[in-house]
Amino acid sequence: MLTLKNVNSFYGLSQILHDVSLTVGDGETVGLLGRNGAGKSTTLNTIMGLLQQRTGSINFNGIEMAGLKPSAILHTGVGLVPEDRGIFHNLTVLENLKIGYLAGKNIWSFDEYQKYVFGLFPRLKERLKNPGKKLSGGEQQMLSMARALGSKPKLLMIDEPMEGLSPEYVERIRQTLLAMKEHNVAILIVENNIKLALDICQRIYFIEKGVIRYEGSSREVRDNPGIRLRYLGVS
Amino acid sequence: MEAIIEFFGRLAEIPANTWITQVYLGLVNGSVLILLALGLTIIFGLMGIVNFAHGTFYMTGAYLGWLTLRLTGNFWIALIVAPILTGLLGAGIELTMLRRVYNKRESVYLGILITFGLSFLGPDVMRFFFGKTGLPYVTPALLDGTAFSIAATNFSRYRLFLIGSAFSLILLMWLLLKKTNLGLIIRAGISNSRMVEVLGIEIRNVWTATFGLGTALAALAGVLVGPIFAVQPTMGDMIIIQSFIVVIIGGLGSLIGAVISALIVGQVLTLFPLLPHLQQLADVVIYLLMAFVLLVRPRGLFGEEGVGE
Amino acid sequence: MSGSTALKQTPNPSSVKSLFAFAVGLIILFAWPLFAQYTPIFTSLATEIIIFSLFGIAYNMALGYTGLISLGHAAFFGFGGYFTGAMLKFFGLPVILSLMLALVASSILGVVFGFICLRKTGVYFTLVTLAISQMLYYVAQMWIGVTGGHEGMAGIPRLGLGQWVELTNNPKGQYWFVASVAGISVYMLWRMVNSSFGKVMQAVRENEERANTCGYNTKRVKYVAFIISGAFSGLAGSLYLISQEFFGIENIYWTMSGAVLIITLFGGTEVFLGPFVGALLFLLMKDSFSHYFEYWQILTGTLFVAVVLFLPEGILGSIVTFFSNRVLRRLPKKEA
Ligand SMILES: Nc1ncnc2c1ncn2[C@@H]1O[C@H](COP(=O)(O)OP(=O)(O)O)[C@@H](O)[C@H]1O
Ligand SMILES: [Mg+2]
Repeated sequence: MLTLKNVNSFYGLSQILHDVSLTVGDGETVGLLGRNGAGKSTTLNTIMGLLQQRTGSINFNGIEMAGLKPSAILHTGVGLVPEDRGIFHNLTVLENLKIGYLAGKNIWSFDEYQKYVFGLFPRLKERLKNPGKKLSGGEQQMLSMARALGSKPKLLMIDEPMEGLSPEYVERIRQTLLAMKEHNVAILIVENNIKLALDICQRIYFIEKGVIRYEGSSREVRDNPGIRLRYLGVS
Repeated sequence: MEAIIEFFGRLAEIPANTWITQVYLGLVNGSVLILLALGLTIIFGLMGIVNFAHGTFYMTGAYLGWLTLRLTGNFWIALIVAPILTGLLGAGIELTMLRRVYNKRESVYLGILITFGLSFLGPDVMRFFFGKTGLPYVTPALLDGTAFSIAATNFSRYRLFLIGSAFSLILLMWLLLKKTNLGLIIRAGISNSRMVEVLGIEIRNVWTATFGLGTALAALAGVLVGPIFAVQPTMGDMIIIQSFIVVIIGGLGSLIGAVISALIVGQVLTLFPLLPHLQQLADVVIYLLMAFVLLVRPRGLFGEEGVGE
Repeated sequence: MSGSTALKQTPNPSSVKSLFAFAVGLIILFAWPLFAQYTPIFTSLATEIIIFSLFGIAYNMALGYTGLISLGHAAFFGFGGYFTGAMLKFFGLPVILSLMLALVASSILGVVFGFICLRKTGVYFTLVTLAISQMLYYVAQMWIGVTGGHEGMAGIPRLGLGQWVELTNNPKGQYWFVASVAGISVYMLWRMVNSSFGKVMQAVRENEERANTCGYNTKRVKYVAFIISGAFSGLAGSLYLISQEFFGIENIYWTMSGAVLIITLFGGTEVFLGPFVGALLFLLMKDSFSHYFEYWQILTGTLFVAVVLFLPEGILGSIVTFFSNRVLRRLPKKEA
């Protein structure tokens, strides 16, 4: 479904990603793990077309995405929940959702979308009229995910969704991710909580200094604490 | 102490109708500033461009209005045609020039330079085509004369019309921003334009439209002041600085801030000259006001964190 | 303001070649009045070009070297002019002393001005410099007793250079006087940008955060650069007053800040002498365009926008880049 081949990308003059190759299959959940500054977010942002300077091939369902703008990439069926969540602070929850829905307005009705989203995140329904800046971190995360679903992506990329959240929210988001797996949405997730990652993902990539160092199934990683020690510094 | 008593004594001697007149004229000033500041602040909030050419578009609107009026003899046509043409000109400039610089690291800086260059050549373009002296507008017959009087203050129809137009436009802008998808995208873009793109919306077209809209508002202000002040090549130079001050006081990128601050600045400009002994400072006072606001509230009255810093 | 840091300094003067170029430049500069009448740049225009070069180079200390986009430098230029005028006219001080005092006074203005404006960053900084300098414009407008308001400041005594009166009482003499003062100032500025402080300024411009983490007090650096920039801009204003024997209020209006911005950008912010080329071009265009075509701002403005869009390094900057690339290409690569 998604195939990266020898992708290099740059911030200004400094190269961040070096020959990154990875794949995500149909409906598969894949984890991208690595230490801080390893280039995980940069990988997701590169796929989304947010870095102009990149080389190599990014193919999604047969469409070559190198050179496409982020808005065009979204319309091929890729969604991104960024690390900073990208909430529109001065817009209400409902307005945030509306923006997310605009790209999917030919696919489903706003009512259907709301129903779907509030099924996943009932909490959002209570806060519909609140401005984005008044939401807690967990609520912002849920809103950001809900918003990304507006275009019914076939692949959802999520950057550290659990970061700094309380256990209830972590559980809520985990449930959502599992539910989306059920709906056959493919997921590429950056998640440094190894237990959670192994629980959700089928396959894991480890990235270090912009280079993919390891690829394997969750089972392999689970059975091999050495790998985790090597790339994350935890066992 | 005596000086203070004397100050208030002299203040009390100012007749009521003088106050009324000045408040009313301040409202006229404020209305014009609202139209300019709204465009400036939206353009800045959305694109990060400080539009130095805004005064030039204001002047362009006034001249195109004068030309239309001259050709058709109809003020109402001028009121519609000039802003549309100026808005198209603005959109064209956005498309051909400003668009080239957004992605660069120094986009704010390049935006200032380009629009500054335009503001540098604008007045001479008008001098070239229309001559150096001011051109008078004819007040449309319908709006000629006095509407009513309060305590010897005559409220001219035209000035009331100008105030009414400005406030109708605020309402229209409010509706546009709150009730339409375009408005939704503009507001979202002011908050985080990258995220708007990530959500699949081609924001560049929105930028062009917004720049056109902002310049059209400036042009409308230019046509509206035509019958009050003569239209001349330097008319944009002064008002652009006042508009910047309005936007700084209101907070860069804030719409409500622009409106409120325009009304305050409009009043200060006309009321301050009434104060005994302090008349001399009238020109300087809005700068002092700005400095004061920035000291107390570094981002202006309604500015958001991170915008323009 | 992109490109490599290597270009930002004038070549090392100790090398024989640059010393030669330097000497030739100096000779041309001082000999100009002798053959000015055979060129389009008459002595009075040349004087003006030199003054605005100094203004631009001083302005570029803030813009190009430190990354501060000020639109308030008209305040310094105007203040320097009025201050010098007052010293000459009302206190009868000698010219040299007036100029020195003007430099000091402009520095003090820079201390105050910078203190207010540098509390802001980014666009706010630019707009606040603009607003504060406009405020001084209105002060100048009100203070008719000193500035003459819209009439301008007139009646400035001829160069009071004591026994040198004879020498300086003509355009050539004025030119030499202005060129000497401006030359010394430019030399001082040049020493400054090549000092260790100059390196720090550029580090701040390139990446303020990194300079901060490297242990520099970047706020202080910007403040000092702004004060120096303002002080010499003030001196340029003083020289302008002296050479014109008159000082109009438009010299403190915001369009003067715009003019120096255009001059600096024309030449290029990354080359020390860029503003000299900018001043040459700007004033030559103003002079010759307005000869044939009254509305010279149309051409100058268009050219300016074109330079911003297509030659972001400015004219001299692009030339330097072009040649240094050619030179570099001829050299073998050092690293594999
Ligand atoms: N906007 C940026 N400009 C320059 N360098 C950046 C930028 N964002 C990230 N980097 C650099 O890219 C590298 C990878 O960052 P990132 O992808 O955010 O890491 P991760 O998400 O794995 O923690 C880091 O060294 C970081 O310093
Ligand atoms: Mg990250």
